[in-house]
Amino acid sequence: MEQSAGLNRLVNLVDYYFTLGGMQIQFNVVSKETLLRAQEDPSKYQNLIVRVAGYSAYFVNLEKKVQQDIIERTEEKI
Amino acid sequence: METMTQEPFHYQIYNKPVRTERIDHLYHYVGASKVGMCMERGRIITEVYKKNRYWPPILLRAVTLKTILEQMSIYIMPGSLLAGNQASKPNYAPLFPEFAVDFLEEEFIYGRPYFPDERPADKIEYSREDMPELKEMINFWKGNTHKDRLYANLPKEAISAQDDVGAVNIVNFMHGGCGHLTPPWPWLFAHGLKEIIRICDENIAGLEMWTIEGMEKNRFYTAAKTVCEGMITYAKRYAALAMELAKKEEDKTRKKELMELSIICNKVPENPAETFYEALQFMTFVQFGIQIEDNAQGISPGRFDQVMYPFYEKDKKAGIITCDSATELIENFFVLLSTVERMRSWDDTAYFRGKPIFQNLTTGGTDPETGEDATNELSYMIMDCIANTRTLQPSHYVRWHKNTPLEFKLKIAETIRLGTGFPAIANDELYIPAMINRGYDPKDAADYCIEGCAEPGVAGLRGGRTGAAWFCLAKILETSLYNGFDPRSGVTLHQNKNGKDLETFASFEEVWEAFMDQMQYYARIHVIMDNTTDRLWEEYMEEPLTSVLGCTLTCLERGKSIKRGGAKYDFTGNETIGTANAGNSLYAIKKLIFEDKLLTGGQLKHALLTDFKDMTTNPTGAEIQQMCLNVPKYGNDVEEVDMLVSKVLESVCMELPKYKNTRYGRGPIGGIFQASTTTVSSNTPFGMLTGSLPDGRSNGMSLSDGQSPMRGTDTKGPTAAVKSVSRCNNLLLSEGSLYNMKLLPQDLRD
Repeated sequence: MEQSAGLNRLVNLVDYYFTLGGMQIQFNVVSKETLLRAQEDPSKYQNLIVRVAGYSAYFVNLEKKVQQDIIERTEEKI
Repeated sequence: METMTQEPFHYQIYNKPVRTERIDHLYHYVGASKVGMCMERGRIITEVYKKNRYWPPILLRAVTLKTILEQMSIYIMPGSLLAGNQASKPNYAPLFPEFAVDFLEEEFIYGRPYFPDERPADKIEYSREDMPELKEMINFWKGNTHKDRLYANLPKEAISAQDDVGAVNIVNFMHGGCGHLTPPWPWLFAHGLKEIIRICDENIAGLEMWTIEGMEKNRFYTAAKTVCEGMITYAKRYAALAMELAKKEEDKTRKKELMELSIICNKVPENPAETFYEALQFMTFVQFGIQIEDNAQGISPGRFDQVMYPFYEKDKKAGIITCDSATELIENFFVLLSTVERMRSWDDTAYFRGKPIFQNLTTGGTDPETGEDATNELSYMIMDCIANTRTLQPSHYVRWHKNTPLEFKLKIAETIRLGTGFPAIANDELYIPAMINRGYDPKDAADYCIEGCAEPGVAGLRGGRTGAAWFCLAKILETSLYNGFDPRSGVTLHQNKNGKDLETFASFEEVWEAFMDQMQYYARIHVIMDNTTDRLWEEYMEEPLTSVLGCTLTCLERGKSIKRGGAKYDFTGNETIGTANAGNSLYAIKKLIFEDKLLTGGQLKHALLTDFKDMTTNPTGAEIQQMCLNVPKYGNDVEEVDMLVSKVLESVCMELPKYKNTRYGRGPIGGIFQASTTTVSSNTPFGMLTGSLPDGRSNGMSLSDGQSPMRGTDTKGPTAAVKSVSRCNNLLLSEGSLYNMKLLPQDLRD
């Protein structure tokens, strides 16, 4: 598999979390910049999907407060 | 698309989905149909109820569904290899006037607060021409809906806890059934619905019809049989339609496809499925049928790779299927599931932003018989199908365990990197023991799948109530700071037993005591709301199809529906919100007032009630807010605060199972309440109802989601964050845990 260092880090993080006793995890993989651009120009980001909670949704169709919630979530560096 | 190419390493946008021409057409065909309202189901049920409304509820519900399945519009999408639909067009939501019409009247007729097609989000298209008919429909149902009965039955304090204080909320279950189950696919595929009908007939023949028990069972079996007949008719209507389309079709390949589809729809779900294709069509019909019955969510394909693999393997050997053709069929299935829509009131959409349906598909995990890893070729293919389709439905989970092959883990990571949020990951080593801890047989627990957000079930074995009331810990904590008083609504439902508030608490122990007191009070309200809903569902909103296809064997054996105790396992769930806010706030009080003594309780109370805006105090409101924000937060590997958050969550996990649900002692294993940390999007509306908190969060701001740290406060990196979240006693979260983490695309690129 190409470009696998980043993927390995992700796998290791999940393994580590689960070894500690974590039960469930889900990810958004998106930068704040992209989300802000999508807010400004929704027509170009009609298909942008994000994870809200136990489900995914089209970002541009979400109400502003929910969009804000996702924008403000911490961007974790791995 | 210049902007797209500038996108910083965004996989979802610049890695175009690889779809066959057929799937691409279908995807765009569905996408071109806006979300809309379909009158048909509402129209048909109104006619049936006009004629038969005084029938015993289960028979009435059965004849209603059968009539809908016989009369509703059906269509086969151009190029589709599978058939099935929920409403007259893709993305159209059927009406369920038997559950609630108040919001239909407010919104569709009067435009309060918005006409559905003018909503700021989650818009619903509809034809103004249908409004006179809708008004008439509303008038027929008004006063006699499930929601009307609930308001008439619930104690006043429970209604006030929802509508005034906003500490608990059950609106979702006023508008539809519970759902959240997975049919026993292998049994259904092996037997077909004709076997269910045979079992019903056999049982009816042996009933002591002169006894009450015999009469009740007769009703159940008759209803179960009726809905199965309805399902068979529904399928045969597609068979006829496919044949009709085939006759008109000029393209020879498509003509052949439609003829094959026609043969399959004539065969399943009446008869057993013998091929991969037939099993998939069987599953499609069942998915739609159950969702047409009672507006339920979380009707799940379950462990798809496990269930479908035997068919795949057999067909591949026989040379009638290839990896490519199976992939296309699965993708076709995903696109079909994505046409399902649910009518929600504007208020309810706040809790379910983006219109989730929760048809969950679980991949990977272990073999319950051997305990060995169960990843197979289909597991990998499903990941490709996610990348290729990028539909919001089905929703995806993978089960992850010690022996999951690294290759599959990397495949999962690659799918996650795409950024659609799929799949979420469940840890077998926690889910399985958590279920066993509540009484599941270890082999059944090892066969779990996710149904809904994060709630575990087992195909064919769990029913009852998975989703349940929202339970807002942040709001509950807030009331405990003011001796039970809710500053926003001005309502006091329950005073602290110690009679104290933030100004008079003498120790942190007294704060904790007050919080526990309010938590226990609202937990009782939560149970009252759920059990009242269940009782009314049982009495008036029977679900014969959901029962007989959801928990087939136990319902048939006991001769009763799920809501009367027909499932093998039955637990009522919970959705705990604002855990991080409650824990962080308690810790801030402990530090600032009782340990470091930087503030008095009175000062903090005033600052909270003035939303940290009073600049005349010393320190000023803004300074107090900063002090609150500076106290360490959950999500940074700070043991003291993490343990407090864990203690908060554990107290909920210990409190709820003290309560029994309405099926306790009536057949199922369990019959109690259990906690989860799923929030859907409710952290936003609950945030609007919750005032300023000692963690420094301002009045009205969204609360923390799931079990995640409060957004933006986890600043020490992902290792520290996962250490904090795993400090919770997750084993007790037998209804599921939910942790959202956001990563940057560029970090996964190398």
